[in-house]
Amino acid sequence: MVGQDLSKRLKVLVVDDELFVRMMAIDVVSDAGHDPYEAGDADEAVEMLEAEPYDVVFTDIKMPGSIDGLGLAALIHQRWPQTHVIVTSGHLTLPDLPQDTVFLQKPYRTAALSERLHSIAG
Amino acid sequence: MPQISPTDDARLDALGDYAVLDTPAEPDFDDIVHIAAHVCATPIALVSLVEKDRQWFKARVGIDACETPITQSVCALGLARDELLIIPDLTADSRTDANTLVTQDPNLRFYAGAPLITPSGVAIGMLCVIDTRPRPEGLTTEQQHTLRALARQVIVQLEYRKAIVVQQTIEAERQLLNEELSHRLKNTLAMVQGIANQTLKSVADRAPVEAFDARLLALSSAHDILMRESWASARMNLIVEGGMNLHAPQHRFTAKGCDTLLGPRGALSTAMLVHELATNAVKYGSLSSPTGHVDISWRIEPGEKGEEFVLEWREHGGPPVVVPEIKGFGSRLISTGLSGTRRVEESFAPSGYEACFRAPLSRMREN
Repeated sequence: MVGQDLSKRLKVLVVDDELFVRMMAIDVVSDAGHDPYEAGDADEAVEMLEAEPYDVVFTDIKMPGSIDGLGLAALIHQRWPQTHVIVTSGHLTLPDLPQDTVFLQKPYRTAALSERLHSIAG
Repeated sequence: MPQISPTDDARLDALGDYAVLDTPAEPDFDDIVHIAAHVCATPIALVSLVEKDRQWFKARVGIDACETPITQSVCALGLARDELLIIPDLTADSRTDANTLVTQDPNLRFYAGAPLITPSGVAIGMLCVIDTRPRPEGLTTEQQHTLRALARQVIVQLEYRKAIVVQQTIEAERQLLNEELSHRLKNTLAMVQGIANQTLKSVADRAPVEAFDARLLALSSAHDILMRESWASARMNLIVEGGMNLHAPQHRFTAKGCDTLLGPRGALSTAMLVHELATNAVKYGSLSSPTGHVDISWRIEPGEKGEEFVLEWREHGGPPVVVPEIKGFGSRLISTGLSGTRRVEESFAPSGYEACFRAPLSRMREN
């Protein structure tokens, strides 16, 4: 994409158990000039993170599995501190998040997500 | 006269229901022991709750310990009967002469206690007054009446406390339910957004797709405000500002009006109306130029059939106004007005678009 040339192309892992919601996020990521990857829950995301590094993890909070999105955010903060985390959820009140974690309330403006990615890509 | 239940279980259950053991001191209970000590002219007064292995003092005057082992409890002796327990000299009574609180420091001598009896007839402890000298004369009739009356007041306070705890539990459950409901609604809206996004992916004209997305977000934002008040009502200023913030920075608009609460339907209708007006302003009106501004104001006026809610939208500082030729969905929504009243006056004066909307206040506030 024009205008993205100077900034970094990010590897973005989208984690959401809702297919349509996940697909939309994936489109936003690729439209913004980054490389999207997807996981249906936090456990799958952890497996993928153990296999290779990602620049950004964009995750929902409430998902089935052994940990939820908040657990995933905490784990990433601890094990993969280089990875940026953006958390999204329908929660009305802002949950307790690790430092530097960005929160987007669902439903979010697609531009809000691409702006976040843009500022991470610097 | 209520039957006093002597069983431990009933007493322990009743104490559990009050959820009072090991809670901090509270002035209402402290007042009672101070009055009791004063009226009975004793150095010590206690609200003593008798548990299985200890007696614990909800309020105390003249004694430092907040509990004692049950073996040192004189109060436990008074639970079996609905009458005052008066022991003029604790050293002369076979039930208490070996009690270490009597034989050693603090050398208690006189005891008078009124049982604390719950509305269901369970004695859970005593309101007692204690002296360090024997009192062969005991208590006067007046003092006895007061001690019994104060014991009843302890129960009144405990019942009141319990009612508050129950109320708080109900409130917490309601809050939780509201959170859950909000969460589901927001997720459903996110899914609708995702489905629309995927379904309309191949549509070449992005304008209607984006308009749909923006309307969905406006609806979601209005729901947020309602949810914060548990769906009961929303403040007009929050609805207007919340809606405008999706479109324009704070300095581009002024939102002013009386502090008024809208019902859920009125709030959603206003939010969607503000959204359409703001969308037009950003596209064609005063917010399409860097210097334009919108004044939004609302008021309550007396009308023919009761009070009326009036909302005014005034744009200025934008490009010269052009009357739209085609009436799109947005314009149709605007002409539907507040809560569908269709009472709308629009003006396309060259200086800026203006509109005035009216609806019965009762309709804006109904659930």
